[in-house]
Amino acid sequence: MEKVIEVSNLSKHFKTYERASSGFLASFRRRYYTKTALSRVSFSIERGQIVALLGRNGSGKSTLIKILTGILYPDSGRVNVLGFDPWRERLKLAWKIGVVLGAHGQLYWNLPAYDTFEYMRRIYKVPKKEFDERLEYFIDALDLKNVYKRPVRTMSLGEQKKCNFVASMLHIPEVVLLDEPTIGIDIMSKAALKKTILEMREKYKTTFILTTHIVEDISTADRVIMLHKSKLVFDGTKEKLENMFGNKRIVEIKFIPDAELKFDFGKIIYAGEGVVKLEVDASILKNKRFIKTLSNENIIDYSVSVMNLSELLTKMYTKLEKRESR
Amino acid sequence: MSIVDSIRYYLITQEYSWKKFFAFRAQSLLWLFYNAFIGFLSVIAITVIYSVSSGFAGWNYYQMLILSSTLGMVLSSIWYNLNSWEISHSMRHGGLDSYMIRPYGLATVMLSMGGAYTELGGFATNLAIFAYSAWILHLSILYIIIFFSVVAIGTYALLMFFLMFSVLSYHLIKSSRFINNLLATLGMVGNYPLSIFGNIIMLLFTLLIPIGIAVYYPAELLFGEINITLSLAIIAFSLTVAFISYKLFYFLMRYYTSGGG
Amino acid sequence: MKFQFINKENIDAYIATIVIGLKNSLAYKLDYILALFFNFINVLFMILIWSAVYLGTNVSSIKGLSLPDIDVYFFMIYALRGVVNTDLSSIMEEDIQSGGVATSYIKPLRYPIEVFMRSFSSDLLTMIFTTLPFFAIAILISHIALAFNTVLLLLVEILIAYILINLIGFLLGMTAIKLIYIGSLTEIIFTTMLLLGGGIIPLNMMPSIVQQILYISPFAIMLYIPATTFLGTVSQSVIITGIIAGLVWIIILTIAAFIAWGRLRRQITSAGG
Repeated sequence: MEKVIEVSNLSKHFKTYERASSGFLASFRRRYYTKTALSRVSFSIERGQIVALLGRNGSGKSTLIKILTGILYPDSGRVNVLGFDPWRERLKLAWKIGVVLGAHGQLYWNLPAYDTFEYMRRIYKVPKKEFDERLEYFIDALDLKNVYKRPVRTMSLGEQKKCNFVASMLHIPEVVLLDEPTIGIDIMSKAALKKTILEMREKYKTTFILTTHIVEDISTADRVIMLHKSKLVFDGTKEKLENMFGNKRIVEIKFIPDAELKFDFGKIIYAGEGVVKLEVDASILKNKRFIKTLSNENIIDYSVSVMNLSELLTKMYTKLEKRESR
Repeated sequence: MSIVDSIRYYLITQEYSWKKFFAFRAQSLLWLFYNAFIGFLSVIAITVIYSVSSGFAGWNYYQMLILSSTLGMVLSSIWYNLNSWEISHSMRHGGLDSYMIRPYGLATVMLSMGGAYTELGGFATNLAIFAYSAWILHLSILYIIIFFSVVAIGTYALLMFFLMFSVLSYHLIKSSRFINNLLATLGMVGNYPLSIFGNIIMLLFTLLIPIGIAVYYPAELLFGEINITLSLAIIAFSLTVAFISYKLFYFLMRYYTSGGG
Repeated sequence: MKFQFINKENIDAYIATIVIGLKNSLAYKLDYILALFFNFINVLFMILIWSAVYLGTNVSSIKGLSLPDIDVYFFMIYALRGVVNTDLSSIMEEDIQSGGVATSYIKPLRYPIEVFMRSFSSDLLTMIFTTLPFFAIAILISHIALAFNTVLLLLVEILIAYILINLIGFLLGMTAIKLIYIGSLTEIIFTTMLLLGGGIIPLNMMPSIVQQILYISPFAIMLYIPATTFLGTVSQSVIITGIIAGLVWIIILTIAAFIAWGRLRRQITSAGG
């Protein structure tokens, strides 16, 4: 499969400062230091992939996006997007990529969103007929019929984000980079955005990279790249991420309070009055003693669920933090 | 990216910026009026000075109006396209990112971000003052055309200079508020013949902050005070300033760090 | 608990507002210093321009002002511009656009006072770094030995000027409730004030009918009258006219401010964000 993005040993540092001391003179004294935003990051992305770029705040996700788009200049390493060096060949690359940054990004704040769409059509030289077809598709897919002719300043955050997305898609870019696209938008809008992304991938083989620290966004992605404190710590499928900590299950058991029951399976992650939550290996579900425990007359109810991504990521971050502190 | 494409982008962006401008009609019309009115302030100042004294040696009243109105047109042109505060504000908050992903040159994109469109009002007022003074002085059309050509080249050079300077000041002090103060100083100084300030200041405003190449020297050319050779030297210098500023601008943008995360 | 106009908790809150305003103004120190530097440079250029006028005309005095007088006049003008330079209207404009008024409303403070305190913090900085140094230079180059009653008169005039500019700023700021963006209106008013207050050309150089009108406007007391009081080149009648006119304008504008605030405060909506 054709590789559209190749990143090799990419590093980026920023010089910043902090107050050197406290007290009245504090604001006059600064201590300068170098902050590493990205450290020797390497990966490649194939055409048509949807990649979720995960990481905590300050992990380097936005910096990476900005380097891929040519906004920032890398300090070392090699970056190639659609055959172009983003920094040196920014102009040529810009025709082929779409970038969604912030809430209202490229939209003219005091004008109807449609004016911005028209404007984007003209600067990206999209033929009128194609523009009309594409616009109709996006308006319908994202439920913007009663929205896009209103001034942007009168829109809700979700509506602004959807319009901003449309503005960046009208020229049907080959690679789309979305910086935290679902922050602050409602469930229905998220679902509409996800559906549109999948349809675009299907129809145009568009490659999507979305940065996020919201776990639900990963469900759209084929692949997850995780950054932690400037380093790439994971690159693989969702399933691989889910299986990182073994084949785990969460068992929630409700029982009669004060009943004498022993839960020595796996790890107790929560214990309250009449309820306990256990993290167990999947194989325990076939364990006879475990099954017998669940059949106890003092057990009112129980449920078994897969460890969700949120819990997995929390474990992962905890593990990484512990490794850092050693 | 061709010049035609850059001009096209600039004009398209102008159209939408004017639409944006008229989203608040009352405010916009007030601004237009204000800028037209401001154009008369220097006329008032010069008129009062020439009514109570004989003014500046070697410059009569109408020549002073020519000089002052030329400065007004030059500064209006710069402010129309460039808002230094907006540039540094965008650079500080990452607002420039949305513009940097467009398939057009950075300089074109940043100049298209626009400044104060109401400067058209000031430009129109100063053009009227210039036209009136030129008519009184019986200046020839040919000289006026040559004059405006030299002014245009100088203005372009100044525009590139201030674009570069806005980015430079952002990198050095993370703000460009003082550039508005600098432009206000130029607005005062450029109204009057540079020769009255002495050689050092004259050199400063010719070589370092080259307002002279767009206002004072073209005016001297118009009144026959400098020869063709010197005029060509001024044009060459203007083009050099424009070229160096352009290169320096792109070099400085390399170190743009965006904002937030 | 009955809300009091001002009590110990309020005072602390207002002082805290001033302190944080000072810090905010100095967030970009070098930028601030450069802005001050250009202020100073502008005065010097103004002096050079007038020197050229005097030399070109070959006279020692124009309309009763000698060249040294003009030099002192413009240093005083720039000192006084530090007093009558207010951010009040732009702060209110920002609050109304961004919905920041709501944030102020939830504090136990009265909005007009709270916004004045925020404006006062940047006014204070301007007075310290602009007014005082320029005033000191004016005294140094003029060799004027200020009499006690002159100082008193100056203080009265400056106080009237400061109250007037803040009332004008407040009324301008209130227009943002209706107009949203008021930058243009603010610029028109303040540039007019500069011209009509003698900030560009001394008022005594204007035609005499124009002078008479300007002395009863709110502008002459802001710049021209205090500057020429210091110089000692203005007549008693002009000073008295200016002070009385200033006081009358204070009464008129205060009544207007109360009425405007009473009517418009309910219309402040939380917008933006």
